Amino acid sequence: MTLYYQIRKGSTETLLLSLLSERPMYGYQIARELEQRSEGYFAMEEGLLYPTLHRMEQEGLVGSEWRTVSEERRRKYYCITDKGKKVLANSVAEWMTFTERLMRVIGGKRNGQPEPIPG
Amino acid sequence: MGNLNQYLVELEASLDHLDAATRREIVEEVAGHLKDQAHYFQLSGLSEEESMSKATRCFGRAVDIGRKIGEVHPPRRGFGLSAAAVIVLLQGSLLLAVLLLGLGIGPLHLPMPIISPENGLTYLAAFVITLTYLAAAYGLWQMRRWGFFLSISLQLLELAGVINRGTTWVGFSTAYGTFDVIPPLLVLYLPIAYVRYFQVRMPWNRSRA
Repeated sequence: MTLYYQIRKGSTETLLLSLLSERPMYGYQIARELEQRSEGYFAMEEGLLYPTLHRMEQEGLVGSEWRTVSEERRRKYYCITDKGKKVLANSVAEWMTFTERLMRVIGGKRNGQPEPIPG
Repeated sequence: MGNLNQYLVELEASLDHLDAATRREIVEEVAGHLKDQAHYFQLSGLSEEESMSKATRCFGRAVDIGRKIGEVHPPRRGFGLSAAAVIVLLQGSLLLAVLLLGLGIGPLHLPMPIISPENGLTYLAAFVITLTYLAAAYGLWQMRRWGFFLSISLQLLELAGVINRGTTWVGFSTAYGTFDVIPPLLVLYLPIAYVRYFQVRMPWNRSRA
């Protein structure tokens, strides 16, 4: 598994919770938002979005409700729960610490070369 | 829409351990996603059929997606079905106990026919039947279609006297003989439960669908 997939796997839940912390969304909307905001970088294999959402719902991180959008269409909207907000806050803090420390170590390097020491 | 219907049928089939309401909701949610996605593709110039075909392809194989979603949801079974699964498990366990006793490794060492070339096949067949009971109990507990079919078949074979009776001790005697209680009850209950859990449309309510 490449580094990209490892990082993405570990960040999917945070990404979804982050989107849902803004407003309730339905599955297709979440997929599109994720794709557009990350310019395709975090585009998920769409079918895999639902097992993740359903698992998060089972764990109480998100809630859901069906909303009628037309006479014959309903959509399942997901929203973040209080538990989800706490998990998101912790997760964001962990990611910030991780990236900050990572950049402290590798941030001074460009193309694998160490940055020249000023002065 | 042929593509979509076929896809949803496959998806629903892979969710057969879930209750009908949960299955319906999952299928409705996925159908909505695929329609939205196909609409997006149509706007970019694809035909209706091509759009849906591409949408289902992008979504992933129905069987795989269904399995992954299904894994998240624990099967919901009512008291009746739980009891039926326990009874079938009990039937299998009793047969297994009898077999182990016959082999001389059970706790009671009751007199049983000694294994010989003549009755070796009988023991083997009995062991296979016992395993079938245990598998049927597992299938019922997991609410798998095959669990229902297997359990019903075993009860019918019990009733017909073809195989050993695991619950022959639960019966009543009349002037006409001894009758088992468990197999007839399960033969009556399991088809009804099957129709309910899998929402099978019977001929008399098809017109309402």
